[in-house]
This record gives sequence, C-alpha cells and structure tokens, in this order.
Amino acid sequence: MASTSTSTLSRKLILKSSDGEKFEVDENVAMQSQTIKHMIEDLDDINSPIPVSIVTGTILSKVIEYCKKHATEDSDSDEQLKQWDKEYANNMDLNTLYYLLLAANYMEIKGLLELITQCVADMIKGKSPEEIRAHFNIKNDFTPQEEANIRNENPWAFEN
Amino acid sequence: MNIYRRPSWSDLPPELLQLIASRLETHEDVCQFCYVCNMWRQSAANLLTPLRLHSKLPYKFAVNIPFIHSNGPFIIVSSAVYILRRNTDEGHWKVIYWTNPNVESDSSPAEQSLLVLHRRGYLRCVRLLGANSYCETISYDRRNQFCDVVEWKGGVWAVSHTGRVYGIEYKTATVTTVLAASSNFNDSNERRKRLVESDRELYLVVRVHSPSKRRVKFEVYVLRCDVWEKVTSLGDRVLFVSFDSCFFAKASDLHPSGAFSKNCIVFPKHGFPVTYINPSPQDEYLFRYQRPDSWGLHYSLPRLEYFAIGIYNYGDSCNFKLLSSETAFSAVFWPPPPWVWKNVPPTSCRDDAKTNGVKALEEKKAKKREGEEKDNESAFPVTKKSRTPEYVQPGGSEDEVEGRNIVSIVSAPFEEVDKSYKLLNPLMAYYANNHACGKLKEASLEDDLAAFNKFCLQLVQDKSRDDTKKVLEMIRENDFHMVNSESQEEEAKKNKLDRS
Repeated sequence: MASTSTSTLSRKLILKSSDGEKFEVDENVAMQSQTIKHMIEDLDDINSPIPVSIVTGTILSKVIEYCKKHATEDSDSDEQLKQWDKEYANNMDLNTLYYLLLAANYMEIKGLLELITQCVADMIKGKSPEEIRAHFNIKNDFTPQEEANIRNENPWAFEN
Repeated sequence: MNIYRRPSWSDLPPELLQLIASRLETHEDVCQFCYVCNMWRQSAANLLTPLRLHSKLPYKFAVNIPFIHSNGPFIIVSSAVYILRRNTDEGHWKVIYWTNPNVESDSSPAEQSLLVLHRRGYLRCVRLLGANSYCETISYDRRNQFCDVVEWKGGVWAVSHTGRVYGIEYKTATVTTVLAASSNFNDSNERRKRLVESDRELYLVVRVHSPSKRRVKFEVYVLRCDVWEKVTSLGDRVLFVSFDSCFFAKASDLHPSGAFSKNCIVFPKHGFPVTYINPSPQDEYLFRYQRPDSWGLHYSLPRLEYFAIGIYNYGDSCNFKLLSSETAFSAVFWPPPPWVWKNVPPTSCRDDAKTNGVKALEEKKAKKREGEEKDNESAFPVTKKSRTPEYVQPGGSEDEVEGRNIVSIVSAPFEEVDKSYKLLNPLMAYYANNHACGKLKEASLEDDLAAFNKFCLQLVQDKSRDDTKKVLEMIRENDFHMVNSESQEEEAKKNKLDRS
C-alpha cells in the first residue's frame, strides 16, 4: 500500500467520449468540470470509465488540454495564463469553438465557458447584423414586419 | 452530439446565447446581436433595455451625433435633471424620472414614474400608466413640503427644511427611510436647501443667515453615518448651484491653467429663495452692481437680471463677488451657459419675447462651447424650447408653436472618459404634445395646487410608455431644427441690420 500523498494526488480517472474514445486524466484535471466532480461523488467504482456523453473525442481532447493547463497551479503567472488562453482560443476554428462552447457548458467548466463566450462576443463586436449572420452562417428569419419593429425599438443603433 | 452535423449558431441554448450577449460591451452591440435572428433576439432581449430618459448608468453607446464630429463610443456617467414646465414658461418644476428599481432587467417595459417637485415644496409622484396614469402626494409627518429631491444610491431622497433626508419607496410612494436627525442650520430665513450627489456621497448646501447684508455665507454638509457633517473645504472643486440642480466640477477642468477659483460656490441671484418662493432682499443688494457691459453683447441676451451670478469663496464669510469679475470668466462662461439664465426663478421668469430667437442662437453656441470644455461634472442644464421667432410680436400668433406643454430635459452631463473620446453635452429637449393644453392655458394655475395635480395627470395621460421612442425622435428632429433655425435667424438678423 504505497498510499503516499503523491499517489492520492495523481489518482487517475478515465473519461469516455461520446464516440468511445478514452482519456486517462489526473483527478485534479478532471475535477475542474463540475459535472464530472458530481459524477465522481456518486460513483462507486472510480476505475470505471466516466461517460462524457455529448462530447466527441476531438473536442474532449481540447477540453482536457485546457483543464491540464489550468490544473497546474502556480506554474504560470496570471498574465502568461491569459496569453495561453488567448492563443488556445484563437487556434480554434469556428466549428470547434461551437462544440467547445457546448462542451464547456455541459461539463460546467467555468473558465473555459468564459473564455469561449468572450471569444465569440469579440467576433460579434462592431459588426452589423448582416456581418454577424455571414460570419456565423445564420439565416435571417425575421419577417419584414418584425424587422421594422426592431428598428423602431432602437433607431440609434441602425443609423449608420 | 453528432460530429457530422453542422454547427448551428442560431440554435445554441438560450442560456449560452445570453452569456455571449452579456459579454458585449455596448448597448449598440447588443442591439445588433438581437437583430441577427429570432433565437438570438429572444435570448438577449432582456439585456436590451430601451434607452430610457433615465437609464442605468454608466450607459455606454456609440452613435453619430452630428455636432460632435466623432462616433464615440460615449459613456453617460451622470444622471440628468428634468424640468417640467408649462407652455407659457411660468411654471417650473423639477422632475425626477423614476423607474422601478426592482424590475430592472425585466423584458417588459419598466415601470416608470415622475417625481415632480413643486416650487412650494410639494412633492408628487406621477405614475406613468398611459390612460390609467395617476398622481400621488408624498408627505411626511403632518407637513409635506420638501426643499429638494435627488437620486442617490439607487433611490430617491428628499430633504426637508430641517435637514432630514427622506427615502422614498417606489412601490408605495411613501417615505420609508429617514436619515440625518434634524439640525439647527442657523438659517432663520428658512432658505431653500439643496441636495447634491457627488461620488456616491450626499451633500447638503445651506445658505446660512448672515448678519450683514453684504456678506454671504454657505455651509456644505456631507452625510456621514446618518449625520450631516460640515465640510471644511471643497478642495479643488467648484460647486455650481442652478435653480434646479447642483453639481460639482473640478476647477482644473474648467480652466486648465487653474485660473478658475477652486473651493467656491457659484450661485444665481435668488437661487436660494426664502420660505420656498420669496425673493431674497439680500440678493437684490448683492447683485446690484451687475452691469450689462460685463456681459459684452448684452442686447442680444434676455433680461439682465438673469445673468446675476455670484461666486462665493467657501469658508470665507465675506468673499463674495460677481462671477463676471472672475479671471477665467470669459474663457469658461462666454457665451453664458443657458443654465445660468434659462432656469429663471419663479419671481422673475417672464421672458422677453423679442429675445427668444437670439436665445436659441446663443444656446447653440453655448452647446458648442460645452463640447470644447473639459468639465467633467458640469452639467450646464438647458431647457430648449419651441419659441417664437424674433420678429413675432408678443401676444401674436405664437400660439401654434406654443400650443403644447413642454417637458424640457435639462442637459445630461456626459463625462469625458478617455482623452480620445470627445466630451459632449448634447442638449436634449423633449416636447410632449398635450391635447389638454388649451384648457390649461386658460386656467391660471401658477400657484394652484389642485390645478397642478390636474396638470400632472393630463400630461401623463397623453403620453404612454412610448415615451422613449418619442424622445429619440424629438432629439433627432431637434438637431435638424437647430441647424435650420440658426441660418434662418442669422438671415433675419441680417435683414434687420440692412433695414436699419
């Protein structure tokens, strides 16, 4: 029984993605997800894989990358961490961002959720509705009447 | 999650869309967000509070304002003072635009009310509910007169003659909190006291009795631990007192080289009426030296007495002088900001109709000037009015223009936030059409409380919650109108000159 403190810290968990891919991660990495934290509490057998049912392997690996970075405390200054976050988010294409957003929401990882929503918000800033639609490939589903109503609500926003 | 399914940004869970929208910084961006598609709109609609007369501050926006020459973004950091006035200019009531503080982010239109302070000190709450609007009286103890009313710490507070501060609750329109025990302020004349909110502190301005009629004395108090604590120095600040509102400005902001006196109070003649409405004999004496020459082009401005502004060095009981003798006066106050002469006291509030056209022109100039000045807190309140042109005889055909009741908004002070943002002080005027105005005009209700109540009611019955829209339209129309009227007036002036 080599129950030293290091061994308890590095307790491993296995996360299983929706497409069956398995990831072995340190407990403190996985525990950044509130969802997983709650799952572990209810789990009898810690060694059985924990299903992350709506997240694919590709996305889960990205999530784990984020969690790993943020699990190793004190190794980086806040500024370095911010810089890392920025690069991390900037390297994602729009589709990945979309699924990361859903994953962060499902897994309840606060930091990641903040990072991704901010990243998306930054894409929206300063754009006209048409530009936003084009960027996110969204269809304009307003009726002409609805559109007129919206304009009336806030004429200042549409002046230019 | 099916990886082969294309991501659909419009079908994101509403809570995520809202999270994204809440990270947008400007009102404008949120508007654009809501305009993308139905789903996005529904998710973020509750973030999209309409631009109300009084919005939650600081209120950031970016928009093109014709006379500012910059698209912003701008940030409104201070609240505005509203003045309620009848079309004849005879009435003059301070108004606080009051929204229900408890339903701020509700997607339904916020509840709105007006708090109207009669110059005799009666306070009325007007509930803006379209046809069901009604008016309530706010009273305390057996007396029900208040000296001043301000917004502070998210609530509305009124002060009585004794210096007690009464918190007024929105739902019931009753006094629920009482702060500051009554104090003896050594003002046997019972001059009207003023409240000023600055940096989240509440100040009380008292003009105390002075034995010599040559001397002026003010005392400024700050509310600390429920007690009025005397302020020994205003520091770098200048306290401006106009007829409806007071505000602090930094002397260094008024004039960069520091030529403007600090630690002083600037106040108008009769700015502190005795027992609510009576002109002060002392002021008649103090301001007697006011000469037209000191204001340069006096002939183009309204009656002389309107510009009687004094400056008092705080803490020094005999240091009173006319503002016009201040070194930096012409740099800071020329042309005289309209708050100096527009919000005239009730005792001398009749405008000379002949000067009105010119006044509008002066307003325009003053407006430009305010844009150039870097006065952080100074709100030069302006009531812009639909007035008779210069060449119309008094009592002539101006009724068409004046056939409405006017709610004038006294300027919203805008603060310069960053050096790259230009300071602006757009003057907002809001003409509320009131069908009942004909009747009101006939009734002489200058001092008639019953009629005053009725007036408040009639005013609100014609307006509903569409207020916001109207205001925006009015502001835009007015900007247009200003440009046109200026050239017209200049032409009219020129014609006149040619003739003479």
